[in-house]
Amino acid sequence: MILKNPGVLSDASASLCLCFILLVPFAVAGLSLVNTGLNRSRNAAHAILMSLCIAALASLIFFVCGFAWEGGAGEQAHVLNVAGQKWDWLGAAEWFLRGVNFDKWRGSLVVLLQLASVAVASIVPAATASERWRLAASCASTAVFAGWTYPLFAHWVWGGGWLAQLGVNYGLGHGFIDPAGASCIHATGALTALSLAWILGPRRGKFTSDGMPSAMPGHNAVIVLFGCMLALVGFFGLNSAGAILFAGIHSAQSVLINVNTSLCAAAGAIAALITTRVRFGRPDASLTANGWVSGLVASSAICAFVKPAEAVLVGLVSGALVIFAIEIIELRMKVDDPVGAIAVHGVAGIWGILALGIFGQFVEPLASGIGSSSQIAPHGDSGQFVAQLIGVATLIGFVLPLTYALNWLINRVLPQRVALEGERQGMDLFELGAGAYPEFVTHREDFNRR
Amino acid sequence: MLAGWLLVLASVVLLHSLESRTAFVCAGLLVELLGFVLAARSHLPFQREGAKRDS
Repeated sequence: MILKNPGVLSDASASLCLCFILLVPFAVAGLSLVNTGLNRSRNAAHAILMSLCIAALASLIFFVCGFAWEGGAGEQAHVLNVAGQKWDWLGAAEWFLRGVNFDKWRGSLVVLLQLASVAVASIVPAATASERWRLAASCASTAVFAGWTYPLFAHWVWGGGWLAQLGVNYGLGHGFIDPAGASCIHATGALTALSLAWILGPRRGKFTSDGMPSAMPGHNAVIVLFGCMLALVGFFGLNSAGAILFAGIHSAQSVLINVNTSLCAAAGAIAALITTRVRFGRPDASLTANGWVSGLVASSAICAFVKPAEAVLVGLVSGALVIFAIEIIELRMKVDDPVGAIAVHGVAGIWGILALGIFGQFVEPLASGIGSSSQIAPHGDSGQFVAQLIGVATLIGFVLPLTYALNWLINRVLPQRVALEGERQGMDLFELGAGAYPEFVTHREDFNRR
Repeated sequence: MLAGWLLVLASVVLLHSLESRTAFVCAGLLVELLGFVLAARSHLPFQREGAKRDS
């Protein structure tokens, strides 16, 4: 709600911010558990190992070159001159974090937050592509995502890039605003997930010959729901730290941010619960979990700029929306998304970005290098909404084709889909040589008789 | 989809009033949506299998 010039962080604010950042890995853990629980048991070990590998590799690649290309507001960048205006399109910092001054709070906290954020973004595609995505191919795809796609868009939004400067250069509110990654983390991850789902195709047996989807329920609803609760803790950290570092929110506002995050997630879960009860006759555990996570994703955009009642409204819409989006993606688009990640992270992320343009209140000028220093955007400012629309257009019109092309190229060099035998056996046995639950073997009847 | 995005970028650079920018940004989004629908249709799994069988 209040945007202040962040300037130099005080020791107290920086320490609080550090504590928030240390919570972010819980988001990685929670989302990994959700993904694993919604997979079948024969793919469980592979799913969680893939999440771990992807998180690790994403952080390493981001350390090598990603952070250099993301850069920071006011730092060195590649700039184009278009019709008399500067279009900052790519960071130009040094590789291997060599230009980062770890003696100063702000720069070093941004590095730490980004190492965790890129891991969260990178595991989103793994959710959609699970049960048929080879481990080696997932590592290659993650390297490209964490090293290029994510830093490029994150620079445009968080690094003082052209989207952030839409307010200064073209008078569109405060420029595109996304304090905690609804677009940079979730929507980019979801669009990569969609392109992978298109390239990989559906799992064997997912659709009947006449195109009807068959149910392939996850193996453990308990860890799915536990993952949701763990993710809430991670999103507390992600939203608070992102708002302090990227939107210049005063650390005293972190209570409001966490209240909004909780309410948005709760409203999302309840909306999904009611929607599934009304549509299918009984509440659905996995879809309710999806509603919860969709509320968290939408909260990433709005958490710092709305009142609690508006956060509830945004959460209710995201929870209901995600149920319909999952149906459309599966029934109409025939996309096989075992976890529903495209709807949860993509649709809810885009909804959050637009909701910020509708409900966001910006009392003071945004002066953190990501927006206008001369304009004050009132509630429902139309210029701000247009800036948010331009961000959405960039996601659909640029990020999706880019990530599709990159994954298509990877697929030409290193086939991403596992062999048919791998799907039949399960990814655990085929790629890892052992299952997740070796003591719980289902024996056939003739085996028991012997 | 790229064409729609370029339309959005052009509207930001070339137009000055908020109304015309809004209209062209919405038009660009519609073009993107059209591209998205075409991309989704071209990736329908049964269409691909049918094409393979035909060839």
